[in-house]
Amino acid sequence: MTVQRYFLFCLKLLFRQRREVALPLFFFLIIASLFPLVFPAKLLATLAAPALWITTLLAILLSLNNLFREDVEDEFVLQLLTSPTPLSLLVAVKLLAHWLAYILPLFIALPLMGLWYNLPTESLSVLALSLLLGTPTLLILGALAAALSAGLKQGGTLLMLITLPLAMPILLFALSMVDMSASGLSYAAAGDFLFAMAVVSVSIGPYVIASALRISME
Amino acid sequence: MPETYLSVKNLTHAYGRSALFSGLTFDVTPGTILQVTGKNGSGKTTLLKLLSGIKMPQEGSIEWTEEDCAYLGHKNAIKTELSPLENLALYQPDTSACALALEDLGLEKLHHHRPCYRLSAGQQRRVALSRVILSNAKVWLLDEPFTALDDTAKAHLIRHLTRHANGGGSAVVATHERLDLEKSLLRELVMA
Repeated sequence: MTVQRYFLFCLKLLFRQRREVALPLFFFLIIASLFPLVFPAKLLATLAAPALWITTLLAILLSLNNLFREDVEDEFVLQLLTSPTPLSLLVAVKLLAHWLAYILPLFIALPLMGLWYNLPTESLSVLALSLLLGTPTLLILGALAAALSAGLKQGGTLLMLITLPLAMPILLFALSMVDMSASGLSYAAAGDFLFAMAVVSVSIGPYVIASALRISME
Repeated sequence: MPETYLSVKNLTHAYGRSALFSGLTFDVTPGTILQVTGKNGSGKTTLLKLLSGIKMPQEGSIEWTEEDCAYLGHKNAIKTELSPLENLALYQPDTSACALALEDLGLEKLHHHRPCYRLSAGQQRRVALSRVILSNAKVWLLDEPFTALDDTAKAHLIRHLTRHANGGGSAVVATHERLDLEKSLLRELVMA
């Protein structure tokens, strides 16, 4: 099992599971579309970033529910554990495929949401940048919780309970980026923080998740 | 070729306070098939998981001279949305070698491109066994490999085990079935 072959394998599998893969995107579109219907138009510009960020966070959590569960149930994870390729590399590849299949489509849906929320292009760009910087960390945090809860019956609930508090700093810094941009201030500090978090989590996350998976299978 | 692929010394494993097995000592040598037998719950699956490195030994040691082993557990570890060939492509990029391995275990060509969820349990088990055969690993660790297999497929697997052992490989097979192998190839470990 090589890294390249496993990456292609993950993409092919996600393509075959496209109905399940599309669910978080539909969840995002439906929930994000509800806010403009129930809130007054004058509030929408202020509400757009928090609403879209929270919906994205929930859509990512929804997608993570099955990240490792199926692999544990069909014992595919044992093939990963016994592979000569380091488990952390295989985990990194799986997460990259997951980001491409589940999170990238959210970015494609973002211009549509911009129109729906009547967001200026500048605000939409900063929102997209904050998502680009924040989602890798969210994915790593969620994947860690998914690895720890993969063998448990109530794993989905536990996943939410572990990930949501850990995701708060990401959410706050991302929203402060959009706020500062809207006020005409520099959002570089918040952006740098999110970037640093992404670099740290992407660098060490796969090792930690691999260890969590090993512990889950013990 | 090394004298032993795998050397187990004083291996002990317990769940809580009840010891599953203790002081287990044996070698896995080239050209032999080690059959692990014993009643349900005697620790056969745990032993295979320890040998494969999935579980860590609590006491004792497991020394490998080979880097690579192929593991087949109770479940097939295949993705049922993918076809047999797509599943095997993860381990072996040569499609014709994969097709040959599947045919060798009696899975006809017309099933090679079907999603595995359309195959029977026995056919899915053959896909998983093909993965082991394609692995080129010197040591095969097989946990109840005959599950869901018909007599023809069982005979195919026995033939593969014989060929593997004659080629200098070895296998640890946990099974309740009688392994119909040459006596010179077969060794037995009974878990109490």
